[in-house]
Amino acid sequence: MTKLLTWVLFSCLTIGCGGWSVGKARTVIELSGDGVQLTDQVGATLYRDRLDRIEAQLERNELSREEYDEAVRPFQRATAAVVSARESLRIAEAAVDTWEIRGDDRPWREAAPCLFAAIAYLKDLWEEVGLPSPGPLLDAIDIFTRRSSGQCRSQVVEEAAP
Amino acid sequence: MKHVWGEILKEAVPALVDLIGRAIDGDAEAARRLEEILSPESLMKIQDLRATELRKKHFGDNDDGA
Repeated sequence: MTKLLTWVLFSCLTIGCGGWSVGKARTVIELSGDGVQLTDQVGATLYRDRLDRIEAQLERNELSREEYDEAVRPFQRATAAVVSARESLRIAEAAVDTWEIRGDDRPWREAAPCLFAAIAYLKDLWEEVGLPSPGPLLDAIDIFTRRSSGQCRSQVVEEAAP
Repeated sequence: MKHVWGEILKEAVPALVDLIGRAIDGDAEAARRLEEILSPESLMKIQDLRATELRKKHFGDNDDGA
């Protein structure tokens, strides 16, 4: 057991714990993309149903401006999170292309934490309103959490967060 | 080729504008159709636009970005 732990520690120090490859990066981008798309589809249906009810209440003068804002706010935040995740996906995809073509993984190392932050935030929002996150999104998060990732330094994710 | 595209767009653009207008006004079928057309982009964003229009219509102002 001690030998095994020593070997794992040695491997982590020399080649990095659960490092990335172009293939792994593409897999996580694909999973994230599927997850974000499913989230968007389900979210749009829920948002539409909620707005139908809200509109009926507004027609009957049953909602104040504050009540309206409160009812819509979770969906506005979720929409911003979806848009932000899509933007992060585009950046991550371009970063992996650069990695593959030029052999330079720095853009990916910068983009990966932001994509992770964006989809993790989306998942948190989903759980906040009591909805199960789509499987591909959870799979992508699982891959990210098992690999090293730094801090996201992009404003795209920060702007979506409250 | 340009001429063909021009003819297509001449018909398509007003139809799309009409569809957007009806979706914003709450026409469920128009919203569904629009979602299909715009599926590569965020579907939630379309509903967000409708929410902004609702706020404007009933409270006379824009969303404050909350």
